Amino acid sequence: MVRKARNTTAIVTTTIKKTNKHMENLINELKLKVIEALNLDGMTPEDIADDAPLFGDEGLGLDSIDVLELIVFLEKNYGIRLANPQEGKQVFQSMAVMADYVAKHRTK
Amino acid sequence: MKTVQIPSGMDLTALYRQQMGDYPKFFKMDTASKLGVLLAEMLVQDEPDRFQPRQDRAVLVFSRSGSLADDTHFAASMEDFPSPAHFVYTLPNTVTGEIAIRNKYQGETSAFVLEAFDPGEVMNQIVLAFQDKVTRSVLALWIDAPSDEEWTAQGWLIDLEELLAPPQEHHCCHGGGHGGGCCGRHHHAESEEHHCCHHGEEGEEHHCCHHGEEGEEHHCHCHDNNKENE
Amino acid sequence: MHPRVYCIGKSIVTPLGNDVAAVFNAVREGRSALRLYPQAFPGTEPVFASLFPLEGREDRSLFQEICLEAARKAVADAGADVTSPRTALVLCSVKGEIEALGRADVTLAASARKLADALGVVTTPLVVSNACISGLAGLVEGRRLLLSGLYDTVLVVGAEVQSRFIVSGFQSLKALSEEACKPFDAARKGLNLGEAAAAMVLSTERPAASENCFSGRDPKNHFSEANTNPTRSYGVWEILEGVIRNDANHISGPSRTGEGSYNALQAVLPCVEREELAFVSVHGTSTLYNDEMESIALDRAGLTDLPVSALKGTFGHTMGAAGILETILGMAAVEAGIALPTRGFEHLGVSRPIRVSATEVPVRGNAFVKLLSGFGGVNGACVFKKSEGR
Repeated sequence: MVRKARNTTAIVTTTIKKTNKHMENLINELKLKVIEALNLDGMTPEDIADDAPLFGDEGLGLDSIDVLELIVFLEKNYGIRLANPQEGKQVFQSMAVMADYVAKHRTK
Repeated sequence: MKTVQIPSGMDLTALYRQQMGDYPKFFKMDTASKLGVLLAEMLVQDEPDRFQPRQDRAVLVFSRSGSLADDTHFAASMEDFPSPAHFVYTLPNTVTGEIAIRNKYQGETSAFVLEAFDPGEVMNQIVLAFQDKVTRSVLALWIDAPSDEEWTAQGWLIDLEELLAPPQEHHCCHGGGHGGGCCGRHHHAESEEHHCCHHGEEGEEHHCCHHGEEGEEHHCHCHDNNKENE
Repeated sequence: MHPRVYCIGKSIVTPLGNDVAAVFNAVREGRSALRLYPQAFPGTEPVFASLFPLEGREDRSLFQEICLEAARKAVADAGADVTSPRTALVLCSVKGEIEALGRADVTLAASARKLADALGVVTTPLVVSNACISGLAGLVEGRRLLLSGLYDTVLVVGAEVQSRFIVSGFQSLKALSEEACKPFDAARKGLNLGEAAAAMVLSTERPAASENCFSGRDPKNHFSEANTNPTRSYGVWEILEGVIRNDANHISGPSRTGEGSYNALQAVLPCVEREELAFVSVHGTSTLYNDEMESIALDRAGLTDLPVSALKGTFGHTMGAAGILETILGMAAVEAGIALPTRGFEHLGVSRPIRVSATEVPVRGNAFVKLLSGFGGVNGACVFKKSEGR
């Protein structure tokens, strides 16, 4: 019984680790792709903190056209259709929030 | 009048880093806007208070191709996902908008399409722009970039005073004749005693920046060991 | 005192009609050619627009056709000699013949040359392409050309046709409404696109004053039955002033403080007495940001008590043609002593108390301001005035 519980714990722990690793990879992939899509020249994924705000002066300084371009980006790369810029602003709060949304809604 | 140009095919990123380097929005622009912003930068970067908002400088862009290079990019993006970032540059006047934003120019911005580069027509339009009573300076650009790789890009900066100033006889104190070593920036009435801006070595005949009447004691701005200086 | 610039001829070519008087009455009656097209152009989403017939466009240039028609009619209206070396042609458009991209030379200069050749214009045509203020910028340019003494007559033609290129572009910006647009309304959610051509002939030679509107010879251009004020019957239209100002803020969104519009208004308002102004004809695209910005600019300029006329609920956004088309309708409205109804407007949805109306409003005054804005942060303002005199 104890051995079974230990195995379950091990499986769950491994699954959590895999999921975290998976998310880490997705966030990194997103950072690379967004840098390219928005012409954020000279930036590397290391320059963008996972939770850093993307919009506004404290963030990457993205603007309304970037929101629209990111909406196109999501559909093109992950098959996700956002209806409007308002929805976009919710999803694009930070790389971590975006990655979470992509993981849940991607169709490709 | 100042004039600058950017040779066709030049590495614009390298030029940006050399001339600007502090404006990440540069990388989102299309080729025409990059050329425009760089030409403007080269023309105005030494001006004092250059980022103070002003309405008295007009920005005119002339082209044959207009936004053709970016039109082609946008058209390609239409095949799968039309790109908003490209669409906003598919206008001949976006160049002037980017220049206005960078430099805080809140005066006139205009865009014209010509069949070919015509300096006479460009000059015409510059003169016409001064009909706006507020305009006292014109930044004019010929930017023809049918693709991202090749272009003609040239810019001019002209102030109203230059257009209005009557031509004057210019006497130079160095070896006679215009261009004989004088700075060329001072224009005087005929036969006026002319002192130019050259600073001589100690003991050398010293020419200063004030223009005095013949025989008048005058003081100069030059800083040398001459005890008569202020 | 510098020479004056008169409007001696005009014409419009729109999906609602090509006769100024008839179209004017249609606008008064709230009619429009705006409707839903499930797929106006290949690869585009449904679009609510005011378009000429879509069939058979592949084999011809609709752009050239409407330019030519508008130009010829305006020239005939003015009785001008378009072949004179003292006559200039100014073409105004944002995208011209862009639908031929990849198949033909789509530069606007090539389009202007074709138009000039078809008309017999001997001078080198000039093209003004300044986003959605192009038509108005063209009138400002025409005025300057005349004041400089370079020409005696200027034909200004503004035109725009829609295409997959433009529709896809605006759809990617999510700037369109899939329903009839609602300028300044609380429920507005985007603009409708439109097609049109409009032309005006400008001259420094004062035409003989005539009954209503212009000195034009075409009796269909008169509005005598609509004119409620007989003392306004005679006179000539002038462009008193026109300027362009940039927001210096964003390449596609307007300044939140309406900086450029406000500055443009401030520059032109001094040329006319406040009581002479009948109304202000605005841009009014029905986007959230434009309409709010314009209300701020009008408020800052002290014009909240002036009736507002917004025509994009009738014609849609006709881009390069708008500055001339909307101005011509504005002139007709002053003639008739009214500010035209703003089709699509119901409840004010901007933060400033400007006077937009769903119904026509009687006005006094023999002048009006035309205000427009466009991508690239441009804003234009012109004052047109009808002066009395026989």
